[in-house]
Amino acid sequence: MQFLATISSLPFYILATISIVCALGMIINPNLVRAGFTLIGTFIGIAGLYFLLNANFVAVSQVLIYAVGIVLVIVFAVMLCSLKEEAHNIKESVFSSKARVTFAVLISSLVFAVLSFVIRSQDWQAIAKLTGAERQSSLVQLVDDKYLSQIGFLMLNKYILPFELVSVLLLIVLIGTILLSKKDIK
Amino acid sequence: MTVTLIHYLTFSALLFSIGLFGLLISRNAFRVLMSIEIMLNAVNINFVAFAHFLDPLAVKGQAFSLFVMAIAAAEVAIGLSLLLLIYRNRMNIDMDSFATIKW
Repeated sequence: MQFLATISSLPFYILATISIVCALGMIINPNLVRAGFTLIGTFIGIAGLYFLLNANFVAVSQVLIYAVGIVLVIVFAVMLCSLKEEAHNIKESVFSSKARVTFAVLISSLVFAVLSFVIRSQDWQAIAKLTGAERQSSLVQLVDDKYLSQIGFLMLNKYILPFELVSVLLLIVLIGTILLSKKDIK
Repeated sequence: MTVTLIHYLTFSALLFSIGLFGLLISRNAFRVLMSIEIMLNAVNINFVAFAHFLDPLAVKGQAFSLFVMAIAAAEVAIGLSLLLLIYRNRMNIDMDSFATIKW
C-alpha cells in the first residue's frame, strides 16, 4: 500500500522537477534564444500537473497559449533584437554584480520562506471540510465529463463581466501592439 | 505520502520564488519578461490546485486561470512591442540603462 502511494505520487515529483530545473535553466542560460526554448519545458511540466489535477482544458490551453504562443513570440522578438551586435554585450554580464546576486537570493528565499510558513500554518483539512470538498470528491467522477460545459457555463453566467472585459482588453492590445510596432509613429 | 494540496502550494511557492529571483537578477529585459511569465504560471497552479482540492464540483479556479492566461498573453504582446520600440530607439535592452526619467 505504501509502495502504491509512492508510485502514484511519482508523476507529480517528476513534473515538478522538470519545471523547476527548466525555470532555473532559463535564468542561468546565457543564450537568450535557448533560454526562451528552455521555458517550453517549464510550461509543459506545468501542463502535465494540470492534467494530474483533472484540469484537462486548462492543460491544453497552457500548451497552446504558453508553450507554443508566448514562447514563440518571445523568441522571435529576441531574434529581431539580436540582429545587431550591441544587444549581445550584456550577455556575459548576467552575474556581473555580486551585490545584485546576493540581494536577489536573499529576497527570493525570504519570499519562499514566508510563503511556505503560511502554507504550513493553515489547517487545509478543516478548510476542505468547511467547503464540503470531502463530500464532493466522491461525485467528481460523475461530473468529470461535464466539467468543460461547467467552465463555459461559469464564463457566460457568473463571470460574464470579466469575460467581456478580457475581450475588450484583447482588442485594445491588438490595436496598441500594431500602433507601437509601426515603423514611423506620427 | 500521497500528493496533497500542500505539495502543490509549496511547488508553486518555489516556482514563484524562482521567477522573482530571475526578475531581480537579470539585466536583459527579455529575461525579465520570461520571469514574469513564470510567476504568473505559479499563481495559475495555485488556482487550479485550489479548484481541485477545495472546490471539485464548481470549477471556479480553472475559469480564473483561463482569465490569467488571457491577461498574460496581452501583457507579453504589449511588453514585447514596447521592448522592440526601445531597442529601435536606443539599440540597447539593458534594464540598467532604462534610467532616463530618474532624477
